[in-house]
This record gives sequence, structure tokens and C-alpha cells, in this order.
Amino acid sequence: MGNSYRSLTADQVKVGDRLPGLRVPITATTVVQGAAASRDWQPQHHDTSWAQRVGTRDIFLNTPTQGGWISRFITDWTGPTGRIARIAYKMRVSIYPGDTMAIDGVVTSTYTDRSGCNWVDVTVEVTAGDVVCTLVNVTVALPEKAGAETPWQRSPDRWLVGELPPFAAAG
Amino acid sequence: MINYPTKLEDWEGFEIERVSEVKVEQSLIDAWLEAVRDGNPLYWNEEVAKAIAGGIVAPTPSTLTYAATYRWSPRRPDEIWDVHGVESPAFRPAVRMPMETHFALKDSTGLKEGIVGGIDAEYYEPMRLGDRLTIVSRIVGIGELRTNKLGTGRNWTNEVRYTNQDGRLVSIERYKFFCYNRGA
Repeated sequence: MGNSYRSLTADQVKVGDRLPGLRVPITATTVVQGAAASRDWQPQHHDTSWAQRVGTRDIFLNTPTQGGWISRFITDWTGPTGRIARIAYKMRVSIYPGDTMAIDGVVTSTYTDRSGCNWVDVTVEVTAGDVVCTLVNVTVALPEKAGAETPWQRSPDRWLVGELPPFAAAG
Repeated sequence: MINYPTKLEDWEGFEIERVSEVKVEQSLIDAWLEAVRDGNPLYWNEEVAKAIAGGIVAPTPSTLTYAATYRWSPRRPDEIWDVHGVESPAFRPAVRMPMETHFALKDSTGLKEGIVGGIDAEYYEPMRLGDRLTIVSRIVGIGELRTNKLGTGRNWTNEVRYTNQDGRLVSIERYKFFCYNRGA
């Protein structure tokens, strides 16, 4: 595999931009594989009879796995030079085997902090059919323009996650 | 031996710190990439990762992989994490990181069910190959007893702070729970 890659830069992004959607058919294997990869052995993520006994219709995707799919969704768009700074999830409905998980997102804000870091807020909806399962806000840093430093090159004193403004969009 | 609070008000701010049993390593990263089919070269391509980030990093939201207590380990064979309540009482309970404080508060309050309504996560220093995290699990924001369609219970937040072996902050996660008993 070659070493070329996409690198989205801040000067290419504007509020209202839609990210390429991601569609994933969910199976029991998808759920269990995510639980195993996150080393999450809570039974509701691998044991159907347990899950039904505690009132859900089946085993369901755990949050780290949803985070993994969302992280992939974001960096498929930005390329590897994009660096995620924060993710805020609101869980409404679980995602089960048999669902087709759809991940869609829109840019809600772009801004530059006092250290010159370029930030993009993305509001993400994770849906199954007509049901909104999880609402997510993500902040990702991008290089300013082609050839500029990547956010990964920032030292801790220039990675000001603690100073980020609250998310503008409800999510 | 952990001295857990006996009074509800003493749980506010109560924290437990542990060094993780699991180091960041490539095979665990690869299993994560398999699970979410993520081809981002930062996580596996040494040449690209070195050029962009100074080396391979672990996927941003994968902290649990490098923080979750083993259900059983040969390094502490007399302890087990027994969700089902079926193991011999000869075992001592394992410290269930990264959310021991949440599980222990559930036990202490007798609230059997718990759901996560939201999680806020912030990411600072990246996780790199060979890192071993220190985890601080802390309870904040215990709410009043209330009843909703699920049952009667309380809200609380389990804040988890992760630092690496150099003392640098890696991540802060805030898990917002409602824990309850059904139909009460």
C-alpha cells in the first residue's frame, strides 16, 4: 500500500459542509467484535439472553465502538492529519444486530484559537432507519492550509482543548 | 483494600487511582481497526505516522482498551470480576477500572440498573505504543432521588482521568449515569 493520503485543510472547510455518509450493516459479530476490541465484557454487548432479561431487544453496540466508528467517519473525511480533540455523545436508542447504522455529519462551526490552531465542530447523527440513536458533537483540528504544520505536531502548551468554547449546536 | 464511603454524601468527589494492567500495543490497535474497519495510517503505518505524529498512535476513543481491568489475571489469581455473581466466594472482587467508583456506588446505593445518557470526552496527549495509563476514577454530581419511566434512582457522573507514564494528561471522560431500580 502506498503512503499517499488525503489531508483536508481548514481553508477548504466552511459551515454547512456535509461529510460523506457512512453506512454499516450491524450484525452480532459487529457488536461482539467491537466489545472485544474495547475489552468491554459487560454482558449486554455479547449475551443476548442477558440483554433481553434486562429489558433490551438484543445485544447492542457499546459506546466505545460507536466512538470508533465516528472517529473513523471523521478521519475518513479529514485524512490522518486531522486530530480529534473532543467527542460529546447523547445516547437515545441502542443500535442492534439487524440495524443498518447510518452516520451523517455537518460542519457547525470553524474557529482559530489564540495559539493559531484551526478547529472545526461537526454535529453527527447516528441513525438506524428513521430512528436517531445517538447525537454527537465532535471537535477536530486541521492544518491551516496545504504544507502547514499538522495538529499532531503541537506540543501540550499549544493544544488548548481545555479552552475550547461550548458546542454551539445542540446535540 | 479500598475503604469505600458508607454515607452517600461522602461519595461526592470520592476517587480511586490505579495503574492499568494493559499497555498500548499494536495487536490491540489492529483488533480495534478490524472492529471499525479504520484504515487511518496513523494507527498502523510507521512511515506515515512518524511523518505526521512522530510515530504510531492509538485510535482516539480507544482508552477503554488500555484501561479495563482484566476479568482475571495470573498476576492476581485470587481476584475475579464477576458480573454474573456465580463465582466462588473464595475469589476477592477485582477493582473494576476504569469505572470502579460507579460500580461501587451502585452496589452501595442498591440501585441495580444503570444507563449512560451521555458521555463527554476530551483528548490531550495521544496514546503511543508502549504507553501505560494511570487511571483516576471519581464520582461527581450525585443527584437527588427521583422517579421517571424507568424507575426510581439517581443521576451521577463518573469522571475518568487518564495520564501516561510521563504524567501527561491523555484524556478526560465524563460518563453521565442514571442508576435506578425498576418500578419502585
